[in-house]
Amino acid sequence: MSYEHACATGLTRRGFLGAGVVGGGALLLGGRVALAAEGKTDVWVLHGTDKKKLMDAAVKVIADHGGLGKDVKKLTLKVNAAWYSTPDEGGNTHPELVDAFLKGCKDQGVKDVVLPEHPVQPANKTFPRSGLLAVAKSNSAAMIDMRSDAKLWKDVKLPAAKNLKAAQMPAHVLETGALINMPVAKHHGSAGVTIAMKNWLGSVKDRRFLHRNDLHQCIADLASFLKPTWTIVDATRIMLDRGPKGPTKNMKKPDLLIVSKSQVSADAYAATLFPKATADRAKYIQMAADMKLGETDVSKLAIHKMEVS
Amino acid sequence: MTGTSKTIVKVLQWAVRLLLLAAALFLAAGGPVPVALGRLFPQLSPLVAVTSSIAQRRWYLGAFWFAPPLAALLLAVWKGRLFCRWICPAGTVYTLGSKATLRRRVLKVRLNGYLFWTIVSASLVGVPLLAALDPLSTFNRLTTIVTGTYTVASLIPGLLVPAMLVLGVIQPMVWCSHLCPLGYFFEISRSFRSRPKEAFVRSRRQIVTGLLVGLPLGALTRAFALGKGRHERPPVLPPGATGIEAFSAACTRCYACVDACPYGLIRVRFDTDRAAWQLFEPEVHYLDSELAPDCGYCPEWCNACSQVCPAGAITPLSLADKQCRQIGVAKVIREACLAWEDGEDCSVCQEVCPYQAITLKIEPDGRALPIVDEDICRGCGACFSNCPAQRKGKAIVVGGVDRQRQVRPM
Repeated sequence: MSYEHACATGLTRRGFLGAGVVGGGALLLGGRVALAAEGKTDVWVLHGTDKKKLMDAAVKVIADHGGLGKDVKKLTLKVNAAWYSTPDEGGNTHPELVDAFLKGCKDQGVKDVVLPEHPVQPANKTFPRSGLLAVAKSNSAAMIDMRSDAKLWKDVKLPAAKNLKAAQMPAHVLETGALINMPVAKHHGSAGVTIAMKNWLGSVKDRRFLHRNDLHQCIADLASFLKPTWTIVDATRIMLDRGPKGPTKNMKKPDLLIVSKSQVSADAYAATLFPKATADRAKYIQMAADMKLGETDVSKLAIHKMEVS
Repeated sequence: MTGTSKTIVKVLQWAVRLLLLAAALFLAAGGPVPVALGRLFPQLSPLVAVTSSIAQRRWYLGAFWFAPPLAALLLAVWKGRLFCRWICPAGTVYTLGSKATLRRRVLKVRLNGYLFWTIVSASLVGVPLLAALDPLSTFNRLTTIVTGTYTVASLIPGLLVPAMLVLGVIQPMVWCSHLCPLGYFFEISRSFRSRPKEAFVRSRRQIVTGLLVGLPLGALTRAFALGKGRHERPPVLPPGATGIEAFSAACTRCYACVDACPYGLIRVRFDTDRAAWQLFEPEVHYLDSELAPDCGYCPEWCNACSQVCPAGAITPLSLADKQCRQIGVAKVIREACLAWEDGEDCSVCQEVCPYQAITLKIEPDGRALPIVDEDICRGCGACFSNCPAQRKGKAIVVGGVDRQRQVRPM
């Protein structure tokens, strides 16, 4: 998550800058240029009601701060498409955001984009209802139902883990040019809140092991192993209770995208959108801090707030 | 009729029969047509319409689905057993099977009349006993073997067609001529129209025997079970069934519901701890989500099984009604539960519940303990299917309800 890394790739930056122009996102940065801060972990907090413009702005932030990496041919996007839930219900990542992101990838020249998901409910129901299948198709990206073929999984060891020392994960997540985590923030029965780190449960074959062996530690263990290039948290609308499936009337509309290279810091920031009692139940965030996986003290983050309209 | 026109009729007859046979197989196996059409062939039987209505003490057929059995009956009044020779898919199979036959008369007495009156009599005491012998239900049942949803229990009722084929090798068409209660129904419908007095005199013995056998046998099978045990709770029945009594009073074991379930969750059970008349009934059987090919619980987007029952054992439900139908109630087994007993942060049951029937009791340390709200629970089985508890098995199970009811929408 260092600043050096953030400035390393000018090539991709140009590409993604182009994407911003083609995408037509009109950016108003409130007169400030959002610069990466020295020494601190950057978290960009983008506010706006137009989801397309919001994601175009996020894509531009990414391009301006290191892009996706050098010569990325293949990109793996981990959305949340696990639930038989409509976009407005907030169970899955919003399709308009994914659509804009995939267009950004295309403009960038990344042609091979895959979206592997191990859904909780049957994929032939969750993928269409989430609206994600349609946008993936229209952008020639492949949504992959991890339940469809046992060969899609690979055995891995997690060297830094405390509890989850071995698991099976999608080959597409393990071997890719750029790994993007694009979760939806929402209330969660077992975990308190689910944001970025918890999103990796959709990339684990035997989820039940985690529930039997201290879920929170296992989530932190996952974050010690799966390190996305970028994390983009969909906090455009969030469930405040009855998650992760919903639906609930207790919704909040922060209209935010939270962008960071650190999924741990993104979680720490996004957790502040929830009532304290709910957020405090997400012990995995502190556990990730204890494992030195990222900064979770929001006051120590370099937070760049941007208004997108 | 001249020789040529006779040949033309014969060719036409076989074309119709084979076409209908193919259609019956296609519909029963769940072809790409509206699922409710799976009901069409078993629904053609006036025997099922009559006996299921008597046993349930209600006329269950709406105007639309009343048409097929009525048409079949009117056809019989007009032309006797024309249905058997032109339409019945089981009849077609048996006719084909009897082309190569030893022509021995093993079964000399025609039992069809006795069977028919036994079924009608048993229905009078609320038990459509042997209604499963209806040839259209029998034929439909064949597909539980073909479509792969079979259980060992479904083999016995499912193998009636093959068994009759084998018997047909010894004595041609033995089912149709000597055993079929529906064929007899058609036969007497015709003869009662033309010569009612004569027909009654000829059927006296069958009617009396049917009453003498059917009434006590119906009552006995209702009272006694083969096994010793009795279940505390009724089984989970498909959505649209009311209670186990009404369900059993109607079900002809056609297994259209078994075929209709896209997830293979309706299974035939040979449960000796239930009363004898309830053997081989279908019931809902949830699967562990890791073992289920697609979906291990009765999902919120599906009402297929409720659309296909020809006997009124399951009444049609709209999708919205099905989503509010309580077919069972979940129960947390605390000593097996990861949250209640092992101190884990697990509330998978609450997470996957489509109806938010599981609330969480949040402990001071932040742990969440699942509690079922029985007034909201539909008994869909999503919690059971996904429960990750292992040590003492599943920590949440679903039992049936005495009477299915509509609970308030979400």
